[in-house]
Amino acid sequence: MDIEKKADERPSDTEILAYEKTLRAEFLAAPLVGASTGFGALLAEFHEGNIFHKKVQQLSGKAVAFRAIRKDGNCFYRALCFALCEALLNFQGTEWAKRVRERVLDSRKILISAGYDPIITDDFFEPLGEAIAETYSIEKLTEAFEKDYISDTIVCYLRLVTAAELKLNRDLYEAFILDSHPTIEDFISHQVEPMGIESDQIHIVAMSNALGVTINVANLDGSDADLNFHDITPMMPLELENPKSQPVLNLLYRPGHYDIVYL
Amino acid sequence: MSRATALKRLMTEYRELTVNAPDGITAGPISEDNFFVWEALICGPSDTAYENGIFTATMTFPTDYPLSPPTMKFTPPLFHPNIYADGRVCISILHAPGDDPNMYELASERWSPVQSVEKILLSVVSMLAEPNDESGANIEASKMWRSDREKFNAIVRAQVNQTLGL
Repeated sequence: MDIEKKADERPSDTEILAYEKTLRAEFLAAPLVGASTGFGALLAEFHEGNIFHKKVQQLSGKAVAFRAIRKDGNCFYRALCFALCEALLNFQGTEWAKRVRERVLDSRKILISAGYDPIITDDFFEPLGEAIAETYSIEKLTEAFEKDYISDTIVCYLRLVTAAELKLNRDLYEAFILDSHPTIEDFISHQVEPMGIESDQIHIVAMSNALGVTINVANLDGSDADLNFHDITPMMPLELENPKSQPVLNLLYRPGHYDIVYL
Repeated sequence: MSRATALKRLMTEYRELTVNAPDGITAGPISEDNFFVWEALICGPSDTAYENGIFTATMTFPTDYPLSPPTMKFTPPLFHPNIYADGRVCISILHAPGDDPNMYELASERWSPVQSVEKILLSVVSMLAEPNDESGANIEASKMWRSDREKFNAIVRAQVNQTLGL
């Protein structure tokens, strides 16, 4: 009887999937990285009186601009990397830019220590290597991030950097994943390495630690409080003479999604 | 550019598979002119109905491989709960997340750019040995696998004999 019942329930899975597919197609039609805009469009997504509407209003009082990232499950990595490359251009010639570049270049060695084969991972590094070059411009950056293959390869590489950070410093992270996954390796192969899988707090912390950058997340959740911010600072910060002068990468979190904000 | 990276990766994997071929599996491009279509030969795992069979499958790689997985199709089609009537293989490692027809596969191994042809083929061998009867690629085969194993085995064995030309 139970088996029959299970079989009968299947069409409803199909229906759910069909609905998700429609939503997905809508999301996938948006640009990978949108233009920098005001908050009008974001505000229009929510009804007046809604808690999200109220928080966007609060945010627009503090932030100067917003940049939408495609809702494809890769948004955190894409948003972070675009914000990082943009900051590298804006802070060109500073000690911070120099140290961040070193960290990014060193990440190739870290992937090898984590057991990845450089024959495979060096191909994934190439587009990021170009995007952090001093000779880059904001036009080139926008163009590169709009090309699926380049943009996705950068996302793929950052996923592996995240995975390597989790693997090599497992003592820091294990406690947060062991209730849902038997091992760090299992977590990585399900929640980090596959493209399109959404990120959580642990991924953000790992990225901040791996790259040595401070990530500030404007937290647009449904809680009935004022808009709050999560400041994620690296445990192994960059070695800077004047650590106070480094840029912060600002992201906007909504349930299931990350965009870029400029504060 | 993407095509060039995909090609480089496929050539690397082909070389690796040629040098260190896993037991019971061979795979490689059908023609040197097109590295994006491969033929794989898989021996049926022993102690299963597929034992002694040698099955041919075509693997087709997208130009953004390995960001996206290849597709795999048995020719001729194989009677199996996780193989569609037209021969297409339906297992989690061949699906990018969000493109998964079976939501309950969340716990199983899935495609990522650090997976490989070899891992796919090894997963397919385990799939032959242990079908996932909750995946409805071939509903008739799933039902028969659950309720009438003898009949299921007989159909498979007839297919095995066909592949051997018996």
